[in-house]
Order: sequence, then C-alpha cells, then structure tokens
Amino acid sequence: MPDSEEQRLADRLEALVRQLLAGRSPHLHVSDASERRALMVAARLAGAREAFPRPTPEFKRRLAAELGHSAPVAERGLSRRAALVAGAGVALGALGGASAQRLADLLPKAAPGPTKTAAERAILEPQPDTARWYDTGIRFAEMSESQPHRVTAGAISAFVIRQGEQLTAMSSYCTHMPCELVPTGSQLRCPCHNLSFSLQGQSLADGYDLPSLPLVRVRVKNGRVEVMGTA
Amino acid sequence: MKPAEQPGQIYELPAVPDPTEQALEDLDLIYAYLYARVGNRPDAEDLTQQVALKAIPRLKPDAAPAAVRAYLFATARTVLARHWSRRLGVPEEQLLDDLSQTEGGGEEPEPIERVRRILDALPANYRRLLELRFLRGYSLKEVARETSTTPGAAKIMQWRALRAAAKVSDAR
Repeated sequence: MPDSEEQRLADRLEALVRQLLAGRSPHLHVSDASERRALMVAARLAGAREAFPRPTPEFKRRLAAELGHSAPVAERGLSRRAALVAGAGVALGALGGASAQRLADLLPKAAPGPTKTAAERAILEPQPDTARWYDTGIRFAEMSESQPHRVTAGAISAFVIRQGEQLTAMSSYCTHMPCELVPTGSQLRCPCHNLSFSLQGQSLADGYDLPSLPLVRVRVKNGRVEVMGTA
Repeated sequence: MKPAEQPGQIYELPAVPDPTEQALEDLDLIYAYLYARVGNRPDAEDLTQQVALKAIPRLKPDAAPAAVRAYLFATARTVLARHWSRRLGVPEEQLLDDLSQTEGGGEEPEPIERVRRILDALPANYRRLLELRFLRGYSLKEVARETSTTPGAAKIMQWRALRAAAKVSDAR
C-alpha cells in the first residue's frame, strides 16, 4: 500500500507526465532527487515517441532569419545525416542512393507514377524471398478501439488499428515525404510538414491530393496480431 | 555509384562547406539530441535556438565540419545542463558531469535504442506500463484497463516504474 507521501509524489509526477505527453513544457517545482531523476527519465521516454524528431520548417526559417542568414534552411528538406543519426534508415527512400533502391525493391506493387487514389490503394508487399510474418506481441482482444499501435516488422514500420472487429495495418510513413507519422487524437500527424491522415489512412490535407497510406498485410494468429514484414 | 579506386587516379574532393551553412544544417541533429532529452517540442526549440545563437556567431570561418558539429554538441550539452539546472534547482556542474558521463561524444545516441535498453532492464510489469504510457501514448485510464488495474494503482506503479527506470539510467 502506498503511504501518503508516495501518493503525493505519484500525483505530482502524473501531472508532469501529462504535460509532457501533451507536448508541453513541464512546469512544477520538483522537490527531491528521486522525483527529479524520475522526471528526467520521463522526459527521455516522452522523447522516444518520435522516430526522428526535427524542428518545424517555420522554426528553422525564423531562426535562420534571426541569424541573418539569407537562405532559409527550411527549404532544404530533410538532412540525410539527421535521418541516419535518428536511425530511420528505411525512411531515406526519397533521399536518393542505395536506400531508395532498397525501399523500391520492397514495393513491387506501389506504382512508380506520381500519385495513387484511395480506390487503387497500394499494398506494401515484400519480395517473396524476404517476406515473413512478425508477431507484434499485441493481443487482438486487448486492443482498444481506434488506438493506433506502432509496430516494426523488419524494414516495414506500420500502424495497426482496430475498428470494431476489423483490423487494419498501414505504413507509418507519410506519403508526401518519408517522415514517420505520430498518432494525435483521431489523426496520424506528420511532424515534418503538418499534414495529417485519418485513422483509415486517407490524407486530410486541403489542397494536396496525397496518396493514402499503403496497406500492410496483417492477420490474427492464436489471438495475436501478426504483420507481414521483411526478414 | 562510387568508381573502383585505381592507383594514381585523381578524384575531385567536395568543397568544404561554409561553417554557418554547415551549422544550420547540423541544427537538425542538435534539435533531435535535445528533443530526446526534454521530451517536448517547445523546450527543444527553445534550447536549439539558444545553441544556435550562442555557437554560430563564434564559429571560425575556416572551421572544419567535424569541429563545427563538435562545438555545437558541446554547446548543446551546456545549454541542456543550464535548462535542467534552472528547472530542477540542481547545480549546473553536477548536471554537466552527468551529461558528459552518459552522453559520450554527444552525437552517438540512438534515443529509441537507449530507451529500449532502459526498458529492457526493468521488471515486466514496469516495462509494459511505461511502453503503454509513453511509447503508445495511452492515458492512465487506458493503461489501467490494459493492465487490469485501477487508474489510482496505475499512477502509483507509474511512479515506481519511473523511479526504477531512473536508477537503471543512472547506472549506465
């Protein structure tokens, strides 16, 4: 049983965690060393939610202007090094080079043309010699309604979402640029350019006819969710 | 594709970038470094800005790219230590010592990998709770439902789990 002091600390820490997870700077006086260390590790955990965090284009533009730099860095797009350091190897598709080729190899059915409509939605299907099912460790019966679960299956990263008795898996990467989407309420938000997708994978961006998020093969085996990925 | 190297063949080396250009591009790395440690965008942007305004005007015109990045990361560590020092009321020197002990060169960290190592060292119930809460973004109520407990008990367990995670993090 927790004593009153432990209860008080748990309440205070939860208030800080809620601020962090809402994307706000935590503001509350921290009283002792264990609470301080717990907050710092909570910040680290909250910081791991984004696969490769990067500043918004607006922020970079503002900063470049403040430094009196003529060329706005925001226009340069994703830094290759930033992506590499953050470990988003598969997300480098649009950056050229060997990574793009590997990604393309994995997507024989994703048309190379400019766009795909929702009706002809792409499916991420690895080549037969690399394809394998991954056990995500998620039990279908325990999944919350419309709650995206991010999973990785080899080189494929996907959101698995339960809606009623239907289970859907779709790529977790934005179809505009290879940035990983972040679940925010009932949307999947792209942190790179403030675009969003519905939980069905359709683009919610006004004025952009973005392809829907490619589907990923998914099944339930022995009550557990499995996703088709690459060996 | 890189051509096969042959003896005596001359390759044109890329031009050394302007240090300011280089630094502006490296700010993506600095932001990622800071975000992984403060866990929220407003603080990460504020600290990145502090690093830029402090470090970039002091760059030598002929600084090599590696030196530019090393200087940016060193500045980022100082700025981060000051941030936590003010926020938590701890001497800056103590935090700087902690940061230099745990961060190595500064650029190496794979934040998700580091968090994974911390989680893996925890008992299963703590690990599951922190994964649900932080990595999957569950509310305390949803965590309680997933773990068949009450929100009040989940809150206490969250406190204990974070305290245990902090001990693991300190030990590494």
